[in-house]
Amino acid sequence: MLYYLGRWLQSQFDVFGFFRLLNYLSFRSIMAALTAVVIVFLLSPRWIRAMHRRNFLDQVRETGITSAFDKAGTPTMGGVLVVAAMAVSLLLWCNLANPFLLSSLAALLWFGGIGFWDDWLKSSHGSGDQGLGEMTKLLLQGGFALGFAVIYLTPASPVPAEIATRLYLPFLKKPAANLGILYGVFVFLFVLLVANAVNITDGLDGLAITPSIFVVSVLGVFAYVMGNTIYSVYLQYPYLRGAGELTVFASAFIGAGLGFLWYNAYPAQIFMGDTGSLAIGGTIAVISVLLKQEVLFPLVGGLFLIEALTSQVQDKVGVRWLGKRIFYRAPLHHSLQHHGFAETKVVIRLWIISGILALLALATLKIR
Amino acid sequence: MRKAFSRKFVEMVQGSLVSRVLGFVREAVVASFFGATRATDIFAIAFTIPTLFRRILGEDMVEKAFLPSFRQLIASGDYRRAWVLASRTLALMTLLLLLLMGLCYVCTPAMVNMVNLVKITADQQFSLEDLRRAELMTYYVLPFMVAIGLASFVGGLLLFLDATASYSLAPMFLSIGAVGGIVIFEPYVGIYSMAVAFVLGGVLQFLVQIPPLIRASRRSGLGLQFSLGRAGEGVPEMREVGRQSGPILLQSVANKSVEVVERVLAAALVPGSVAALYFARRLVELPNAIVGLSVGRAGVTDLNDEAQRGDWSAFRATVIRAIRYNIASMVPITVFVIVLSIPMTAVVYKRGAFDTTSVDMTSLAFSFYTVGLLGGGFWSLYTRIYPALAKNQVPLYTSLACAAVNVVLDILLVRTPLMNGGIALGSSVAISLNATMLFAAFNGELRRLGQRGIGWRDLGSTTISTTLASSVGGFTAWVLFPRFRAIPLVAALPHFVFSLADVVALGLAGSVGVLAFLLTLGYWSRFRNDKGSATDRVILTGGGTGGHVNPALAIADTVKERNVGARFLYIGVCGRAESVIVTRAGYPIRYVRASAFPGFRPSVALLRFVLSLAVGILQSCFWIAVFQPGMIIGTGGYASAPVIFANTLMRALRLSRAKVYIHEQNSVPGKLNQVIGRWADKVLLTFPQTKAWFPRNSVVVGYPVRRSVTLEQRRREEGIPALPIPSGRRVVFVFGGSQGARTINRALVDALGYLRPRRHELFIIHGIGLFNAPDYQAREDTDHRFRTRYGQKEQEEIASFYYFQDYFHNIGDIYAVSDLVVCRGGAGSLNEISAMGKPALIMPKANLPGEHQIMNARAMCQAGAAEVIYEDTVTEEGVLLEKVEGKHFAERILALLDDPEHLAGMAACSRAFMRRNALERIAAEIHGTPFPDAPPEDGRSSYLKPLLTNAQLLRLLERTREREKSDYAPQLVISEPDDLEYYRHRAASLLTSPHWQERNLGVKLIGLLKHEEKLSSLLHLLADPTPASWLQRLLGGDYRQVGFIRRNILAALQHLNRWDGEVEAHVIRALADGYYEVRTQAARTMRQFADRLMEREAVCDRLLSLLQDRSFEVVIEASVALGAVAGDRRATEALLDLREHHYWQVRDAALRALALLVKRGVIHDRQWLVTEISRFILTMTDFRSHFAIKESYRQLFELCREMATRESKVQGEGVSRNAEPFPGRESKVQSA
Repeated sequence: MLYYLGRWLQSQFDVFGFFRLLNYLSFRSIMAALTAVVIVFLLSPRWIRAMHRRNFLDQVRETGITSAFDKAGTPTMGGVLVVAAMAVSLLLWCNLANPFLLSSLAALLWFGGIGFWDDWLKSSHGSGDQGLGEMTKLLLQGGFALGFAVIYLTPASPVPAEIATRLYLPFLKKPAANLGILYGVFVFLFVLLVANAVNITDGLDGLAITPSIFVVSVLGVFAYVMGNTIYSVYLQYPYLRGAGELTVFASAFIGAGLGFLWYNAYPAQIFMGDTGSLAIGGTIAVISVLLKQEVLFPLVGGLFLIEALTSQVQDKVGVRWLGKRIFYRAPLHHSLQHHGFAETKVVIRLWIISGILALLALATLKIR
Repeated sequence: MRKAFSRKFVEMVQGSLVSRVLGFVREAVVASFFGATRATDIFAIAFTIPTLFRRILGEDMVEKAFLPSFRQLIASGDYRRAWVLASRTLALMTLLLLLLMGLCYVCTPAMVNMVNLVKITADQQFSLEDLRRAELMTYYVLPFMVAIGLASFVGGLLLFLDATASYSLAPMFLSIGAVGGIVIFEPYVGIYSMAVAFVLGGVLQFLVQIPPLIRASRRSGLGLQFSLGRAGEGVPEMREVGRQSGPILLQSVANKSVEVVERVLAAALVPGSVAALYFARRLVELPNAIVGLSVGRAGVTDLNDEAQRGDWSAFRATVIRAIRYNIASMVPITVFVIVLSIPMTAVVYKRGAFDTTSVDMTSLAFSFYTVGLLGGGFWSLYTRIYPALAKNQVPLYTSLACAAVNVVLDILLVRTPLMNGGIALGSSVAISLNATMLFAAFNGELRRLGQRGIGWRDLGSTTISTTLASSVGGFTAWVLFPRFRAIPLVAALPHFVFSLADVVALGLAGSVGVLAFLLTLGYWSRFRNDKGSATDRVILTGGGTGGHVNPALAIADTVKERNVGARFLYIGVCGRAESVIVTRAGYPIRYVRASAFPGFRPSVALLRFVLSLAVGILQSCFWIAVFQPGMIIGTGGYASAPVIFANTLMRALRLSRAKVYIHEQNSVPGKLNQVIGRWADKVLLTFPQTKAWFPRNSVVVGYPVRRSVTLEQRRREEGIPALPIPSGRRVVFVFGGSQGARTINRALVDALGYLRPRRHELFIIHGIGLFNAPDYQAREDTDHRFRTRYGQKEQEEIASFYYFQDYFHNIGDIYAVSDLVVCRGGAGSLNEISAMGKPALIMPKANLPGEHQIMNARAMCQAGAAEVIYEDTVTEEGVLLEKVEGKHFAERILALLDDPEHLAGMAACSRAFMRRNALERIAAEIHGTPFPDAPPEDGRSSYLKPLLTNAQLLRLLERTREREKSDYAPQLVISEPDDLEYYRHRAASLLTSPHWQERNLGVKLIGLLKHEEKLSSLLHLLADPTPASWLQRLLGGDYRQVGFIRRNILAALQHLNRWDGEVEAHVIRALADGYYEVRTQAARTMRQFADRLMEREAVCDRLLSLLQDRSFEVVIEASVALGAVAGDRRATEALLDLREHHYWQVRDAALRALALLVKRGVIHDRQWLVTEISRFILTMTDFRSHFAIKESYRQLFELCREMATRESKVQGEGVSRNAEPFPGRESKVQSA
């Protein structure tokens, strides 16, 4: 809104000439981040109290880890704070007609909605196992992924048709292949994978949010480059008109994320719940696809991928089929805890790893 | 045997399906590499001769001339001569093939030049260059003839030796070899790669059959002794083989030489014509195969029986049915193929060098070949009819005549603008002519036998309706295909191995076309059938076991009584109980595909279920459309699902007006029935409590006992003529339902020995059952057990009081003469027993949905009408089995028989047990007339507390154990000793499950239920060396008893708390298990039983070596166990060595172990120890968070509760419910 107001004032009155600042992505990005962080700071204490009052407390499943037991009773659904702060900040500072932004915002709200429903059910049943069924969740996520994949292939897609179905690999200048309609299938699967990967990672205080901030920051840099005629030519990326708006989105996320970390840092006063983790996962997936950086995800979001893989391999291959544990525990962070590392140590080490991965991913900007 | 046959059939169909698909892949690879060009022409021509001889020598002669003689010799037990015959035939064939090959090498130039015999236009002939290439190609390809001839011979032997899977999979390797050859060699030798590839494939096919041949012959005990025999040793069968070969050779040559002519003619056309014909023929083989199947399905196999019996009217009826089947399946296929021939061809072949021109040429030939499909179907039908009439020569003559006509037609038609299409048309016309001639000749034959010829009156309506419906369906598909193809989203689909756009458009247009076809057929039948009253036509469905089939038949009989004109059609699954019982009862039966619902978890079984359901629904739609029933009566079992689904679908389309009645026999409906029941007009229930599942549309009627059962009661004194029971004997009837029960059969055979001393008072009648699957053949297994268990004299003695039969169609008589019935707990059996007023000894089957057999049995037991005997799970000859000890079984039987008063009381209770007049109630429901006395809604059969499922039980036990710790006992959870006994039996029976998850559950339950008798079974499982499947091993699996099971067995041992030498040996072995959790658990077990160890030294050694384990968890547990077990200095040293271990938990465990050693007095020198432990690394990477506020909260909370308890004690009341935040604690207080 401020974006539109400012532009309008600037065009009508000379006095408001300084509002041309709003044309600069950098300015809007910083403002979006600040707005988001302020909103989270303002809302969080009230929200946490409200959650306590309504008894929306985390119901920890019996995983056998004592520290988890000890944290039973921490309120959940902190994701609502992140989503709300981002939404408000974006409404204020973004060009709402931008298709990139609209897609990402839609993903944020849709996946946030699924997570919210799930959290709501879990809390009101008072049991971690009585949320949405796995199938329902997958169907709801699949519905969005399918719609997104279909729109992505039509002319209504934010990405121009000539590059939409091409597969870009990190470290390669030229697209590796044109997948045609199969690209839709790829996008569909990718969105499902990434959305759930973050969900699985969200198991320890601050474990999901910080790596997410790293990933989104890297994607924000990519958005800035690819949405900029000069940088994109210089770094030999395809120019995506309007992609720069995702930089604002990314910084709003960084702001909201930092604000959330303030309360989520060990020992947490609030958890993000599925509301947050699904929303973050879905958004990261959609942004990666929009920026043609899907294949970069295994690198930049390597932590999420490992967490998801260990969990799936352990459950589907090991426990369900082979009848043995393949890892001591899964996902990765539980395994580390099982090895005798304190929660704080695990979290910080995984942050370090994800930071290193983010740096490597940034390096692909130039090393190609 | 039926079951074995159907299994073999399925194996063959699946095998040949894979082979067929791969055959298509092979052709598609050829097509994509070379297209329909001169190169492929040359290949097809060069291939003519080898394929000709392959068919003749390999397939026809082996199957029809050699195998029958071979089979006869084997049957007569003369293995040596049989193998001599085989070797000589093989030798002769090899010689012949080699000779033929030599001859061909000499004649090739001449043969190839024949290609240019015909001249249609001046410039289209093979050039000299082409001829030379064809010559070369022929040279290369000739060895294929030898290889494939030998491969076919070996294949024939395999088929005979019952290695059907290997037999039908071998052609796969031909395709694999061929594809591989082309892909590899094409860059080097160009078109000759085809020849190389096929030779390679042929050799491969031959070679892969050798190992299975050796294995199969060893397995069948026939030995594999190829030997030519002594010189001069006569094998007269050899002559027979030779004599048989003559006519076969002639017929094959006649059929195949037409192909030669076709190719020669086509060679004169545009380049690629021969190839187009070749590819088109391949395509048309697929529907041809479907005809073969459908003809077989239509019951042509019965023809031989009917002919032998001289039942010519039945013979005629079967032929008419087969013809109708043929028309109904071939006409639509023909129309659809002609209409969509271009996209079909494109989908299969179009890629690489196979361009649009090739597609056009091939699809033209394809559609003209298709014209002959109907004739081809007839032809293959008649070639099966004539052997039944013992007139083999008729088809031979007509074939020869038609071959001539074919050649003439080809020559005439090839000059028309149809070109190679003309050639295809020629062969289609010829085969149709052939069929017509056979048809006419057969009608003459029928008249001679005094029957009316088959004519318009028999076939008219089928012909008209199918033609009409096919035209409509075909037209729809034809109109829609280009439109679907043009939809932008479809058109945008890429060419990805297949032209995906074509596939999608084809699928859509085809489905809509089929729908249109079915709709037209339905409307037409309705129009035709409106003359009669629809309510007269009833479809019966349901099956799998007699328990589902018999009620359907009982209801049908009742309907028939009220409405004499009613017509019935039974729809069931081929090869199950219904195919025996229904046929015998005289109702017509049709088969559809169906399979049991495996649950929602994604799996191969689920996929198969969905596919077979889809196919089954289509088939059912067809039958409903044709039969136009007014009523459908389903009696459950998965067989009824497709019919009900189809009817619901067709009712929605206003295509069917049939009302649906479901009868549910069990107290707990299966998953499918739950769904189906919702769509039924009325669900007829046996048990009142089932109403919970169908509150809206159900009515309790009871179980419809067959009239034939209840009507026979007066025969009690007369006895049964076929079954002479000496007077004064007490008769016991033992049976396990229509399919039979392994436990009952085996237990009875074992019990016979114990019953033998009382043989002058007893008579045992045994219904063995029809069950016949690879893992259990009821009859064979029982016979075998009987023969191996008893000697000659015993057998004779037993025969004096024991009578058995597979299945009793006169079961009513048997019930009538019995004094005691032993059976399973199925609702059907129990209701029949109750209707007859007999006392029963029930051996219910556990682990069924809802435990319905157990519930039934216990209900009857509570009513005083029966006694229950549970199956036990025991290890026998190294295998875990469910069984009932023969001795125990015999004792129970004798105990009952020796107490006639008790028995009489039971009989009286039995008579009063079940709901009566079920059939009258059902008839009243169906006809809408109220039954005089409304059934009381309470009944009294079943009002027991429902049992817990295994999973529920486990959860309950685990929770209790966690709460009570050392005070735990299973009796805390299960107060009824009866229940506990049953749960223990059930848990033990899980150990025999094929799914490891269930075995695992069983292991856990046995531990928690403290079922000590099963200790040896657990140890048996723990030591089971059977490896897991190779796929699982590839991904890290090890044994069939997976890691979790082994771990949980050790945990169960801890619960059972029994220790002896054997247990110790097993646990010591488990310390060296490959899976770390097992080692951990074993160490934990050692620690628990540390005081009772016998081989302390050995245990210590093992534990010491575990300190070097890869897994830190194992090291931890091993250290602590060492602390509890060790008695010498070695352990102390080893534990001290852990002071710098990477993981703090290990160092921690070492310190705890040392403390134990000190306490136990093993370490005396404490001063020394203090200096030693000072070198331990004491940093750690973990800590426990301590939330002080929660502590304060809990203290306050407990204080309040204590006060409350004290107060309530004073007031004599329960705990007030103020303890919401800690529900677990509250319940503890309540239960304490």
